[in-house]
Amino acid sequence: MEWLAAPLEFGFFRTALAAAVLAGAVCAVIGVYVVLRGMAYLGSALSHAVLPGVAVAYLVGGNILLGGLVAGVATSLGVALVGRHRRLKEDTAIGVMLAGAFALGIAIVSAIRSYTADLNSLLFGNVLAVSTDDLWQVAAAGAVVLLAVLFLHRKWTVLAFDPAYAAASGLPVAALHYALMMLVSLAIVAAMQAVGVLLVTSLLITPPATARLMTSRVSTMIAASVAWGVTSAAIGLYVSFYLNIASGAAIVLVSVAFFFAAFLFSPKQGAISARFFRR
Amino acid sequence: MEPAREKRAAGRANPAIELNEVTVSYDGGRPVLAGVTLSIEPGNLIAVAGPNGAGKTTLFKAILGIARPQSGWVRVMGKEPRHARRHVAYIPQREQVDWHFPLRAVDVVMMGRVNHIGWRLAPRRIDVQAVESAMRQVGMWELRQSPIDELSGGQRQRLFIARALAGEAPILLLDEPFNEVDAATQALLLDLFESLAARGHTVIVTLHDLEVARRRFPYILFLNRTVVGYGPASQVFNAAVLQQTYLSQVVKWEAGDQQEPGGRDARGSDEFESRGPGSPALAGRGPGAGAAPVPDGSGPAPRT
Repeated sequence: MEWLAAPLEFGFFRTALAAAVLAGAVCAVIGVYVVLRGMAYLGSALSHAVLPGVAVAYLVGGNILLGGLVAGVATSLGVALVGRHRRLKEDTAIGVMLAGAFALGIAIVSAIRSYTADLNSLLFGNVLAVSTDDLWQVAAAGAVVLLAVLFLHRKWTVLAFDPAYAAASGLPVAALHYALMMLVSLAIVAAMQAVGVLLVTSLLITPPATARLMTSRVSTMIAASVAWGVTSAAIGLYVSFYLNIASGAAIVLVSVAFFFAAFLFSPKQGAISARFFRR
Repeated sequence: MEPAREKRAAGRANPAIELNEVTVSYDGGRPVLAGVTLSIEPGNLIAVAGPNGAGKTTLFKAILGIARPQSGWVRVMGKEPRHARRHVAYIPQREQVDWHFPLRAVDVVMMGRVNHIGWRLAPRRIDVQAVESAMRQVGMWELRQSPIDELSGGQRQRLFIARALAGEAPILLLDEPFNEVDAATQALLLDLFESLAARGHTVIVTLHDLEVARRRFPYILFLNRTVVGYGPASQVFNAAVLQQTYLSQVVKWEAGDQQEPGGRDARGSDEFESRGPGSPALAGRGPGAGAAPVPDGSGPAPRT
């Protein structure tokens, strides 16, 4: 057990572990709705799109959570607007907006000479450099996301399952959609330092996808998703520490490994185990 | 039952739904509905028939307040549609949703209470009771714990109806509930609609099978962008109305058939054979015509 305790001697590792686990949990919760609504690509677009918002927030000394949130909502509005054009489909709109927002973010960051080194940590994360202040930001984002989920879970589930019925019942469909986009953006910014914008999609999508393979109720899916998100983040960080590989990559690889384990072996649903069970 | 009470309160004078010269078009194109005037009594059971593109879905959307008329007005229980959403439940086509969604049957029905629950974190006792009552009415209570991907087509349709009933809306709009259900389920649904109407619900059903409309629905609305015919089956079921409803389609209808007593059995009907939704090439024959050229009348009209 010494290998488990040894890294905890270091203050930076403890802070990093807390940040990674929190980020993993926040993304895993909100990601459930992203997966259930089939919006993984939009989630990926948002993760790239927060970059200009975060960069501008850095530049003007504002709050990076707020910056990322504004950029995320602006991008989802842009996707909706462009996607409404009769000749374009939504994924085309997402593709255009994703690349555009991402390029804008890189342009802004690269213009600030002193931040060249930071581009790397924004793109790939640098969880070991997380400060206590950063940790509080992640915790605040997590609290907002959890509170929102508590109140919006029921409505988001109706919207995800049956959008036509949701609209006919008078649910504020557009407001619910953009509320989700806002919270996804928040979760992305919260997780950015742990895994970087390029890999944050994985925290949003992979744990809920793993949970989806093994549960048949939304509530248990959320619980399982959080379990996978937290476990992946913790194990990933240890792997990163001992094998000396980038923490973001390590966390994502662990969570993808869990996904494939579930994909192949989950009872009833697993690609291999189902064949076995059927016998 | 709440709907019954509302019906009594509304009385005969207040129609459940009223449309006056309603014209709806999307993006300024050719009107999907043009000058629709209609008054629907509470407690009525109405079949809406018409070819694809006749505006059946748009009619529903206008009643739900989702489609805004360019001209004319809609009143639901005397109110503007968007203020009357609690009074109307829309039951979409089953195919529109992903039935692999991780929900149990009872979770879907609880969705009918989403407006009642509002910002509360958990359903109240009254919500749970409404869900149970609704599921019992459609005979789905025993299956409440089943994951929805294990339900049959007919059970899914009944689940959707239970969701609507759980919301306690007195007006039910059903979008082609008979699509791809077997004869037994269709009979069960028809009985259910009749008992709902008898208890004061206003039930409006779009369908393609005209024989079912004629036999089992007290009122029929023939729609083709405008109201072609609206009234009791015995009055509106005639060659002129059918031809005007299905303008381009081949319609053959021998007048006189509609006077046949309606007591024929619930299943056998080859008098009308709709050849798939949207193009019901009708071959109307009297029920007495024993030598019907279409062989075998043992089931409802086959659909493609």
